[in-house]
Amino acid sequence: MLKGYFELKVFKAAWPIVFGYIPLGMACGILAQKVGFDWFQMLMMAVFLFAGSGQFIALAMIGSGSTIMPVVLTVCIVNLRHLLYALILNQYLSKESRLYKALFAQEIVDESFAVNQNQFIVDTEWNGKNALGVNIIGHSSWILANLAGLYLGNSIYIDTALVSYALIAMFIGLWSFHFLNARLVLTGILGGLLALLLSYWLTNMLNVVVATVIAAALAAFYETRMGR
Amino acid sequence: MSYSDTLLCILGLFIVSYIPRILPFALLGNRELPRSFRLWLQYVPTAVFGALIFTSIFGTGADGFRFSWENKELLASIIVLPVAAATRSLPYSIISGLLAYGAAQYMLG
Repeated sequence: MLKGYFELKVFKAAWPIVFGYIPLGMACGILAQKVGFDWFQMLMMAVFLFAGSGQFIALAMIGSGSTIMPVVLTVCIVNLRHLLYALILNQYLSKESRLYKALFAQEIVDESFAVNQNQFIVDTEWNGKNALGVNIIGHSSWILANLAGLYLGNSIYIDTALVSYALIAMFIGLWSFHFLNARLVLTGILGGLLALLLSYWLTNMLNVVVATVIAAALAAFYETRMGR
Repeated sequence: MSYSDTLLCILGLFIVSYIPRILPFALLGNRELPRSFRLWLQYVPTAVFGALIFTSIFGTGADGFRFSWENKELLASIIVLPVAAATRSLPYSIISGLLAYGAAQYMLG
């Protein structure tokens, strides 16, 4: 029954996510405790919102006395980028059942997308079960870390900056898997520079979404015009 | 926000977060995508990683960029990038990142 979901290679692929999520999720739980959340509110947020930056922003806004609508609209924009991830992962998972897709989609975040997308490329045997396994392991560790942070509160010290950097280092590692030709490298750098430029006007990660769409479009256009 | 308001808020957060996550699966299914669209998709991962990484390192224009040699994320990334490119290994990337960031914290205080 559980075969395929939790094989050794699934854990091997998922460990960097768990490694980053435990401290980062606890930091999020600590923030929730300061805002006055109880275990049920924390659990609902971790299960149904499940988004690192989305949860931090929502908690900060609730903590500073915001009403419902601004929180929902802000997080809506912050989480728009998951659409890009789903577009790509759908290519590999289009033959899975509806129930599978409904569950899988809820667990799409930066980290699970990055790891799965890479696995689908480097491992020809990587399948839907393995991918959902990575998602479930990541989501579970996030939920547990949130609850642990909520209970432990300020009795523990977490170097949030160092932990956040571990995830940035993971993204640099995942990015490097795409350094297969000059055009892929340049498209990444272009995406980065555009994101910085656009960040003067577009906040809440919208700069990341727009920069990605434009940089990838320019690269595709160039390839169509110039050939390979 | 009252207790029930926070739960209502979480419900709203679920709805707006789930829609972008499920929409591509619901709309595209196993339909064959046009060539130009597939071509574009092929460049999305590298572009999104570049955008996420650059923003994480330098911050945003709205909050003021961190263009300085005191920027620990920048210093650590200067170490991690060649390590990642040479080894193509996540463990080496993460470990070198933690060590480099820790060293930057130690030196810059």
